[in-house]
Amino acid sequence: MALPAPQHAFDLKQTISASRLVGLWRMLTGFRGAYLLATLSLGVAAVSKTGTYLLLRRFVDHTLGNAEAMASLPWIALAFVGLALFEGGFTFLSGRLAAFTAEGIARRLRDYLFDHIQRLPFTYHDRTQTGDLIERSTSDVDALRRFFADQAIAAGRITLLFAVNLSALVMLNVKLGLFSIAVVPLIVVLSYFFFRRVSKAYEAYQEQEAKLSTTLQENLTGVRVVKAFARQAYEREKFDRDNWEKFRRGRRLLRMHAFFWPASDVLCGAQLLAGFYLAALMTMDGQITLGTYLAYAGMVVWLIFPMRNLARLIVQMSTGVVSHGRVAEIIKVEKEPLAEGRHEPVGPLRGEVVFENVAFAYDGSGRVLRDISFRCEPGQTVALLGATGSGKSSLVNLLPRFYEYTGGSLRIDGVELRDYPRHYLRRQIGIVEQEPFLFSRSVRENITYGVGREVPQEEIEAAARAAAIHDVVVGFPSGYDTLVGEKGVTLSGGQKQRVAIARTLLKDPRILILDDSTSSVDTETEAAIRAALDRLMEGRTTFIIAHRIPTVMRADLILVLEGGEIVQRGTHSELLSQPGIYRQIYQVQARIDQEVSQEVDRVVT
Amino acid sequence: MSLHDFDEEEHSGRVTGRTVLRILAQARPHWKWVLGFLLTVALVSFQDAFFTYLGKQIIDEGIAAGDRSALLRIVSLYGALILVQAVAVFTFIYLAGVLGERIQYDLRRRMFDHLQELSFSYYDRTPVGWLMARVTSDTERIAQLVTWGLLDSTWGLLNVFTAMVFMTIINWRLALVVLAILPILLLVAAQFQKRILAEFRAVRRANSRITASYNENITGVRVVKALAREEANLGEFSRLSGDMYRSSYRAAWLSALFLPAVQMVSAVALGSVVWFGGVQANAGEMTIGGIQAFIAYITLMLWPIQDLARVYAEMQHAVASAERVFALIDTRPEVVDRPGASDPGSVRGRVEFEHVDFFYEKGKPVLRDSASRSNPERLSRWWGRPAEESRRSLTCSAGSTSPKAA
Repeated sequence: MALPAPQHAFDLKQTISASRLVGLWRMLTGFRGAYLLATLSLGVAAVSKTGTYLLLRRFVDHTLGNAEAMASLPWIALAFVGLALFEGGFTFLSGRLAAFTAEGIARRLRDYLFDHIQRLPFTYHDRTQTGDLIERSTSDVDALRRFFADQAIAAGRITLLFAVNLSALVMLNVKLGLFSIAVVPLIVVLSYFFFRRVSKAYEAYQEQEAKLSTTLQENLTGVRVVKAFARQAYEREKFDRDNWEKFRRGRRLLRMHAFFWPASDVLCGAQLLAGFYLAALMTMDGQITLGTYLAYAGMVVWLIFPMRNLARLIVQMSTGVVSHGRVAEIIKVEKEPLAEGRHEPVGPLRGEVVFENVAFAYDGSGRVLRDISFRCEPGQTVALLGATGSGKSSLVNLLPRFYEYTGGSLRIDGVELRDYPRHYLRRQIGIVEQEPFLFSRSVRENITYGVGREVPQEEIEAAARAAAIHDVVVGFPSGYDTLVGEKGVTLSGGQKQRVAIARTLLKDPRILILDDSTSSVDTETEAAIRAALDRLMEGRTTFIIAHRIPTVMRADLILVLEGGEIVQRGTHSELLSQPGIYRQIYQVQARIDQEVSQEVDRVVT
Repeated sequence: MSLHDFDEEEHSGRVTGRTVLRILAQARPHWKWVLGFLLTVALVSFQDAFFTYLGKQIIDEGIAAGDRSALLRIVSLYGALILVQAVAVFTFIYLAGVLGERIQYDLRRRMFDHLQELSFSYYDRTPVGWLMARVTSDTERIAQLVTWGLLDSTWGLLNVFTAMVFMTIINWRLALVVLAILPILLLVAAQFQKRILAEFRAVRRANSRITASYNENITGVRVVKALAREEANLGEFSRLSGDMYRSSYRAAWLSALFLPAVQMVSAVALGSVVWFGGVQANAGEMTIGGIQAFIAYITLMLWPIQDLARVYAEMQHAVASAERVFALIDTRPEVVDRPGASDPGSVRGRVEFEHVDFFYEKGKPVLRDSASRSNPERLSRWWGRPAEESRRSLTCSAGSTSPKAA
């Protein structure tokens, strides 16, 4: 079922900038108003909080002990609640707007990355680890989300509270106000260095945790081997080593925390107490009122303790900046233009393929294919034979424009391949791989995966029957709705391949690329797959990457490749009649088959 | 065991006494550490309340009384206690933290060693990912419960308790007013936390679906490209990311509402204190320092109350984790040596099968009455279709899957 792609009004490519801060600012596009409002709300909330202390001052100095003012007591009590409501309301507003911004940015980024990655060329995917891409698309996006949702906003809050409270204190009494923040720069600097060290120690700890997980996973997936070789003691020791190292790193991290928090508590506490003492003396001397003392005692807390957190936030925000850089690295890479091409026929291809001196090389490496020339009429079958690395896969990969040929001419139906849009070509070409990739969806969804329309059940079943998989599917717990993969049934290699054949049958392409790999399945399955493949190949131009002679025998043209060049070409009978690789392979395989059948006969009888 | 047993059910955690006792037993070898951090955190909690009381004394006995020597005495005591508290904070962070790491280490080691003993049949029906989660995240949760969970709840309850005690000492009538508001505060906090936690669970579920989706689309990118599925896949993905957006946004703004809501309730308490306290102060029954102390105590109580629901939910998770971990540890290996089995050091390699039966599932024999003899000189081969059969016989003789009577 094809769903309309959401329209991204804003191409994140525009956020790329040499300056990381500019990049983050551009990420905010579309949310700047909301984020500005979130910051302003914080300011209002901070003012309200300080207002509470100033009200307390008024209450102590003018209302308490003043019989005439007692009538206003309920109003003052109400004003306390009112200020709290004001503060709470704006805190909430700010939080909500920040969440709106951060979640919105994260969602836009997730969608963008998902789409961007699936449109990146193979040359990119070949040199990039899947785990790394996933890590960037999830953890780094989340780090960026936290940057906007929590860190930047919390840092803003602390800064605003500091500014508002300090101004209020200075207004109350300049000397007291300035005295109270004497230690603040020291706290900020110390905390900054501490959190920087802690974040490194934490990374080391996480690294060890990941290492431990890997050790564990390797042991569990290879448990049969471990047991067969009686290596349990060795494995135990290995795991214990990693486990102990993790404990050690955890202890180190905790020791750092155990020293920092009480030490900075003492620093902050000493400043606080000195302030209390000075303010108390000033009150006794009549320099400030008792109400001012109380307001001071309330506000000064907001000047000192949050400073440790400001330093922590600054350190955390720097990881957010790093994450942004890691995400931007993906965004920077150019996508494959799928729809670009001068020639897009209305109907299907006929399937005539002509290679003329085609050459191909991966970026910056030596030639992979050179001087490939042959011709194939619609509906014909071309078999490719050769050792690993001889260029068979590279050759067929050129057809759907997974890679671009670097020399010569490649024409389908007389039109240069480069002139077809990639999407058009890929709809016309079907591929059945050696190890077909199935998605963890139902069998039905896997079969209909390549067709962008609703497919009636009969059609699915017809394809499945032709692919000799229908009977197997019906035997599953929920038939065609059975999930494939970890959460459902595990399919054998042969079953997967037949599902892939059904998938390709339904897609009905004009050109087929088959990776023949019936070698790993038993003879019964092999026969079923062979029959299914025959039905699939009917009337389509077919390229077979072959490993075994029987597959090749019926091809219209056999190409033997070696080192990226065609070294032999012809039909089976032609090639068998001349000396060369083909005849050698044929003889070796025939001998093996004969030996096996003799052995079976001897054992069974 | 069916596949459904491996679903990550997060809330099977009904707190049952037996499991909790067994969890606590994990800390028994280190009971001195536990006692150490519980005592120090109690000291810290008491001191926090006492600091506020000293703040009141600075006002009442120092400033209001105009007594400079009293002021100096109170401030000196305050300063000394700051140092004592620093030592206490150091002790409980170190003890609880290191103990948590230690319990994790112990549990993981025990589980790993145990996993080496379990039979192939156990691995046949248990996904590796499930086992990984038990050894990694579940042990972490258990360790957290025995250390920080225990510490947080002790600290929280003590904070509320000591604050109430000091308030009662200062002014019992006003303390009653605060006590009346306390249940409302608890109720509001619990309701909020329940909803927020539910949203966060939804976020985690959405997140793992999104990760799976990335993983599949990247590993299967060849098929995606070959079948030109890009647009349809983006459509499906953006539904997932939309789900995540909604849960995540909801969780975030509920959290943003939570603190102000709790503060509002406490503001009502504050307003009452100002009103009644003001009336009492005019009648000479309440000091200004007293009013200030009440305001501080109400703030002091807020933190643990806000946190209570979270700590409780984490305890539930930890209990669920513990149940799974203990189930794994309690699994007996199916292949066990006969009593008195000895290790000959090396064997010559003559293998005899005599009437060997074997099954994976009762009633479905795989091998029946197998007999065969092999000589060390010759590599014996089993030919069969499908080839599975011969591999089974081999694993059977290696002692990985035990022969059973069919």
